[in-house]
Amino acid sequence: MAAMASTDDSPIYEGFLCPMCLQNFDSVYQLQSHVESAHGSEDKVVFRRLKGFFGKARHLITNRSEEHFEDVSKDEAGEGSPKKQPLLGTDPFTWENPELGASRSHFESLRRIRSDRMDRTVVEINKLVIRLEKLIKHGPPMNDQAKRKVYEKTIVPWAEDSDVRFCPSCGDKFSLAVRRHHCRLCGSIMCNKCSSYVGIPFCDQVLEAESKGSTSSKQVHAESSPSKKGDVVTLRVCEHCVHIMEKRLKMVRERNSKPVIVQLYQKMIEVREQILRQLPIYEKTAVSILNGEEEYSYERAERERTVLLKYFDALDLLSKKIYSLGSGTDKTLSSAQMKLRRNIRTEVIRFLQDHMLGLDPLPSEKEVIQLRAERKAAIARRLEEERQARARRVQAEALALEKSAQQRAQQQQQAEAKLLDSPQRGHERKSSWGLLNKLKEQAQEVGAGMMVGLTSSGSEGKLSQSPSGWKPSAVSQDTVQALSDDPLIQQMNIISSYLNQAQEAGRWDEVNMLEANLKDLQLAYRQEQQAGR
Amino acid sequence: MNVVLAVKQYVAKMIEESGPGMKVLLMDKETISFVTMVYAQSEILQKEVYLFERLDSANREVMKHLRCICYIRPKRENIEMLCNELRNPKYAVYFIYFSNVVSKSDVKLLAEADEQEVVREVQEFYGDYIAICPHVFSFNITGTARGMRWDPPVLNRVCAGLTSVLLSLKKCPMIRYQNSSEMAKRLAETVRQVISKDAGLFDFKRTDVAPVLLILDRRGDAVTPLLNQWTYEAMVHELLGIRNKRIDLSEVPGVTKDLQEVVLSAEQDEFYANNLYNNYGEICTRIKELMEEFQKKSQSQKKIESIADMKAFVENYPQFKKMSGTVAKHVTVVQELSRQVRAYNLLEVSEVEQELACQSDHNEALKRIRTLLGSDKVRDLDACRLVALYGLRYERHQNNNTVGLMEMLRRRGVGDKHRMLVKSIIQYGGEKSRGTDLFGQDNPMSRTRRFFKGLKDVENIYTQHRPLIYETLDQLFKGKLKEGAYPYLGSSQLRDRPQDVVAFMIGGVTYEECLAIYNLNRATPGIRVILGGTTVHNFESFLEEVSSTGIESPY
Repeated sequence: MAAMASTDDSPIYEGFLCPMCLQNFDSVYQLQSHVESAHGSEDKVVFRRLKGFFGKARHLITNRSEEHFEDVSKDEAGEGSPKKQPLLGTDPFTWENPELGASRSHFESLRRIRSDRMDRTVVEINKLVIRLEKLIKHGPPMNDQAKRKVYEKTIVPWAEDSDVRFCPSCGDKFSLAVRRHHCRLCGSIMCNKCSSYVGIPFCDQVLEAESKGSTSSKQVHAESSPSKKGDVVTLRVCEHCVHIMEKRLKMVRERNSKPVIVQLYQKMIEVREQILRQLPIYEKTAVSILNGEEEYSYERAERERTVLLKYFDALDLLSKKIYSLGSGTDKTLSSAQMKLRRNIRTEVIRFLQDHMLGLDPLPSEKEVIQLRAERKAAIARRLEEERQARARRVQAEALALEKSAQQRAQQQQQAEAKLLDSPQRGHERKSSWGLLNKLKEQAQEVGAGMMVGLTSSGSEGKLSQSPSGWKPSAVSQDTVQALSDDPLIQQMNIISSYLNQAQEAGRWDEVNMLEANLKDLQLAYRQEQQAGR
Repeated sequence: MNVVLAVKQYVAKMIEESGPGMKVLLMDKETISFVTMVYAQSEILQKEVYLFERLDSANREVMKHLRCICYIRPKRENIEMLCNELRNPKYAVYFIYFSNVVSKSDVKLLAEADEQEVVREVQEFYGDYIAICPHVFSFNITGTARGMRWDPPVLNRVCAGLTSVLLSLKKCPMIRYQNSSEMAKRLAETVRQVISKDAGLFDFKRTDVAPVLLILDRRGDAVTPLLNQWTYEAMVHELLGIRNKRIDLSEVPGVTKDLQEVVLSAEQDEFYANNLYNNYGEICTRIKELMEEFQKKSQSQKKIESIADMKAFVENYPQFKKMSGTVAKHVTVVQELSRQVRAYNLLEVSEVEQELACQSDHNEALKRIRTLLGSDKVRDLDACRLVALYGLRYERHQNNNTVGLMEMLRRRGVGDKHRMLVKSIIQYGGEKSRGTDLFGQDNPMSRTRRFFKGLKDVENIYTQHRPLIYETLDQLFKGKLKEGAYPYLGSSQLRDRPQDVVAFMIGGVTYEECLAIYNLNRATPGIRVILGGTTVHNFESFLEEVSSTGIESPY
């Protein structure tokens, strides 16, 4: 494990070097998959120690967030620590349910039964409304009593006086004192006590509600409407019909009314959605700027931040408004109303705590300049290191090639076989680069395979010296690189311009996609440059 | 196989189906505890559910701007109340979910009541139980039996709950039951009936190995609920009592007002989640660590000199506030626990209990019980426990001296009621009604095992007892559970080693058993066991359970 020792000592080897073949990688994950594929067949102990190294590395490298890092299992971190006997079963707290439990819907059968009944009610209501319309809007003038009566009788057949001897609702016997009266809407008979009058305004409202599905804001109740005959034109109706009409009116009205709280709430939800859309965009910008990258301008970050803060303010204000709604007026709110308001406010406070207080602060402009300078220096340093490491690796490879030609042939076969077996892990690649990368990987793997047991690298050697199978791949790398250099950069430029357009248009999904693309391209480009060097 | 998640998924689905806008959740007395066990209020507020109402609460206000999610048990009175609600709807639209199977005629009643067409959904979502933790559920029913038989309404409730557990997990199991218990057999048959009556509902994708429902009776192991406990959750339940995740601290001397009732939830409270199954000693250490960490933090919070400090303070504030709540809560709880431990001499009592349950030195045990019964630090409750344990353990011993100990209880001034209960426990869990090899005496194998166990150094004398159910399930997984003692219902039998098991205990389980099943799950590869009980007992509720069976009455 001398190679590993040297990585620990020497500050130059800060990148992701394979401790076995000193090859450099761009990310921990790549290194890990390389080790697994190229050195997987080696001694288990070495492998485990290597994983221990990964565990250490995880603590050292904090700047790079690599999701795949989690794959390194926990109990293998920590070099040389005695392996704890793992529990073979599972912790119930980690159990998951793949899907929702069983369920059964009864809605269809409910709807069937309901619509059967509703059809009847609807017919009844519709009939009433049609008659009402005819009575009010058409027919002889209201003051011509005699003609009116005839007309009213044509709309609904009146019950025969002789058939009804008692008032159906109060049971009083009809006589000279207790006169029979007919409901103008359904034609049934009742006594004076049991009948009521509906005024024209009320009827208008009912008709309006039925035709438009909306009502005017002023409310007139049948009870409060004038019931003195002669004052205003009214209709004598039975209680049953009044009830039906009132209920209907109430329903329509309630369905269409929108209390202030609902309007405010809707606005609040809109603002919240805006925030949730805006937040990840700003966070990305802020992180990028904090890292000293120059992808986004400082002004843009500032602008995004101000927008967000404005939204937060609006959200806070709206929720406060909801909370204090109606408390100024004299009628006291019920406890349920209070609870509703309080809970909405509580939720907004939690939302603000979660999202506003956790908002990444922006550095000042001076700091940004400093950060950018630091990053440039760091990149330059890394490139230099990579170059050195690469030089060493080339040396080592050459040495290996010279030393064991036979072993190499064997290893090559093995590696090729492995390559065929193992699907590509993790890395995303553009299809046009697939072949190139494959070849490169092959070369790396074979080279790595031969590094086993080698501890020193001294003699100079050239890759081109290697016979047969090797040369073509190396040559093809060079040629492809030379040819593709321009198109790659072009492609990157094109995507960058798309990106700008998309950002201006505010199409964030596309921005994300394009950014991912750009990153891929940059990665490929960097790899190319390294390969060419 | 996660019961907490199962109910949670149901509730989340209801909320999702009800669409955007302000919502009210309308529940009954029971469903309210199903929901609150799996959802914290803050969590549910995030989903626009801002109001929680009981269906049976009178004078609920009309709020037409709310969408109503109605989650209720399909009981007669609930259907009636819901019908009235629909005739005069208080909310804009209704999404109705029943926690169990609802009859066609009830659906018809609802349809007829829905004159204003406000119902948008009617479904059965089978979360008809209290999910205590991922592998434990209960129905909060104390008092299942009348004599040796089921109380009929309780049987119906338990059967409905148990089938809903199966439905929510999508399991159609083979059923085994404890042969010595008439009640276990009856429940097994009732569950089977429900399944075969509604076979279409239970028609799930077949797994390679059929799941098993094992029905047990508390009488098989009346020892476990008698013991004092030393792991955090169990101890809190034993000494303070947990009811739907809440504990009542109002009796604790010098407690502040906001801590009179606290919530212990493994989902919300990290400290609790990490220490649920740790023992008392570990908890005390952890509390100390927590305090120190908190002090460190609060000190750093105090010195706010620069703007950077202020910023840091504001950023850390929510976590800080959350943490201070956690610290205050657990410190109070642990302080109260240790006060009781000291005041009632619980360590010594527990040592004797464990010795009674796990060792077999009759004379030594008797001597130590007598000493403890003479001490006035020991609570009457613990005195009763000890005598009951002794009575159960040495029921058939030639020098059995239960009578003498009962006399000592009388002289201590223990009331008639409690002395009767001690007798009842011995009857309830005695050899005659037990039908299990509780003390490992029936076969030579377990007797030798017991002997060797006695020789070995025990790790912790206060937690050496392991509940019978661990043994039973272990044998089930090894394929060694005796067909005669735990027969299958019906002719088909499981050939392979079982994988998914729901074990249900009539008469309630204990938190010690929850821990045992937790450990079993962790120790055995390829298995998942869920434990259910009519309730989760501590000693006091177990006394209620026993007294409600009314054994002393001629039945």
